Amino acid sequence: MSSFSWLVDGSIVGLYLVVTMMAGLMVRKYVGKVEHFLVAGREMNVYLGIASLAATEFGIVTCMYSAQAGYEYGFAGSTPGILQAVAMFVIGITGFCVKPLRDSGVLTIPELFETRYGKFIRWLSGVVIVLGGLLNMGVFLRIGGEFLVLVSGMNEKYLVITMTALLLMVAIYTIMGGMLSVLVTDFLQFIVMSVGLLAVTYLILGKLGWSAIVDAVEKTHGAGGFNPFVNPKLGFEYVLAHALVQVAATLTWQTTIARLMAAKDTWTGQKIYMGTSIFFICHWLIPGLWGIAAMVMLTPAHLAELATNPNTATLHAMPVYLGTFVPIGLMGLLVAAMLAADMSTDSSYMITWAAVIYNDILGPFRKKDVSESTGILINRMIVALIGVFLFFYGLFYQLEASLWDYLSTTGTVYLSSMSVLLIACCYWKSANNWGAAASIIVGAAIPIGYLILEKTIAGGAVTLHDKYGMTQDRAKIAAFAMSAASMIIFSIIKNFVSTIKPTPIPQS
Amino acid sequence: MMEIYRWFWWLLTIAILIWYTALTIYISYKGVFDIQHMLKKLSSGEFDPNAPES
Repeated sequence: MSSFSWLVDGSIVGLYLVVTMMAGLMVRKYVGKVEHFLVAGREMNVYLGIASLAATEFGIVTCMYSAQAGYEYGFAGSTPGILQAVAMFVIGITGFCVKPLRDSGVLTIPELFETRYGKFIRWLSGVVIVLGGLLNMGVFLRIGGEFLVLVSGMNEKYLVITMTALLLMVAIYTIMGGMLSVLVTDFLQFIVMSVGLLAVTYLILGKLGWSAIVDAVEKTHGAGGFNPFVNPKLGFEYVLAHALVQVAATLTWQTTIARLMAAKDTWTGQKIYMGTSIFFICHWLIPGLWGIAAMVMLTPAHLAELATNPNTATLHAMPVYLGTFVPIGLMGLLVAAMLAADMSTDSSYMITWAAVIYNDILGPFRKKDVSESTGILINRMIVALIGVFLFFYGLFYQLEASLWDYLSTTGTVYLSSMSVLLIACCYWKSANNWGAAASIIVGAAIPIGYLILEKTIAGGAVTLHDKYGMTQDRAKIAAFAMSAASMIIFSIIKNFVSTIKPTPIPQS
Repeated sequence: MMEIYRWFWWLLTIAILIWYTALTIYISYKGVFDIQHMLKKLSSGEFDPNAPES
């Protein structure tokens, strides 16, 4: 039974929604050019950038998979957050790849690729970025709806209505104000989200106590609950696969890169990276603590209820626990915080992937003299279509493995090849379009092939592991390794072929 | 070894909670000025909605 009170908590949530919608819609009058719509006229400064990036990279979906990792693996489940924090800080301070990328003045990564690899690679990169990105964000809306239904104690038959309401609210201000609305609402959402996250975490630590939490992790997982290398379900392959994913995400994840592109200059973009880096540990560890608390506190009745659907039992443990633990008043703040987190993530994902569709996939087919107003209209239509996709994909796709495994595998569809292309573009003079094309195809084929096998083979992920030794982590490592190898081998082949001069045919 | 693990995660948890609390307060204050500055810069630029894209 949830402690959500429609009068007290509902009023807090309602107030939050009204203020956010007003702020999002008020700034639409500043959108006059496509550049305003897609990158906020490149006028974003460092504090707004940190708030926006932090809010974007933390949604309900993030909270759910981080809590699931905490519930299943203890503190060791927060390892990807530490890896990403290190990657963000090192890349921010050194400017590795991000400096030449921002200095080039492009709107998207594929636009940079055109200068080195040509028009076709730009278009192909756009296609894999959108494919990986949309598959990834396809589950966001459903997971967000599930969290809200569980934590507020609503009947599950209202899931579709909750999803629709969430989508409509986000779509309205994103379509009207583009990146400008996204940035301003992100700022408000960052504050609400952070206050809610911190308040609930302090409450959990205050009521349960630190000792009860670590004792439970030690009792359930032993050393593997603290150290991923000795956890039998994680291990070296897990850490390596996630190190690759997090470095690639820092370099090429479209929502992260969009903040770099919207920054007023390169050094501001790098400072945003450094300033946001530690947040990625919070992003995993705070919900991870909630997941561990759920493991400690859920009653046998709750566990029996969760066990009725084994696919979602560990995913739903945290919201079920919070629904019973958080008191009236704070529950309203929690739901507002989670709504804030989700809306900022959905809006940013919609606008940044729309940017790639408009700029790189439709770019070659667009007339050169499209006016700014027509350009904005096309972008608004793309955002609306992404919203429709999110709704239907969320309704029909059923998760087979853990949520984070699904997200990191679909992300690898483009992270593997795009990171290789970007590094080669910036630092390897011999890289060319043959290597780029091979890298994109191989990098996308491995994770997509794995997901298709997981869906089509009898027994799914279990059969793939037990019979063929294939896991999601191995698929990710293979995608990165083969993508890099393809870039090197095919670039060398093209350079070799171009050095062979044709022998002149003697004239009779 | 278990004691080291427990201390490591305790220190990390405390550090990120202090850091996140401080960051939220600081960003909430400074971000307002960034928004004001951004909107001021955007509103000062002249644009023709029918002009071709730059």
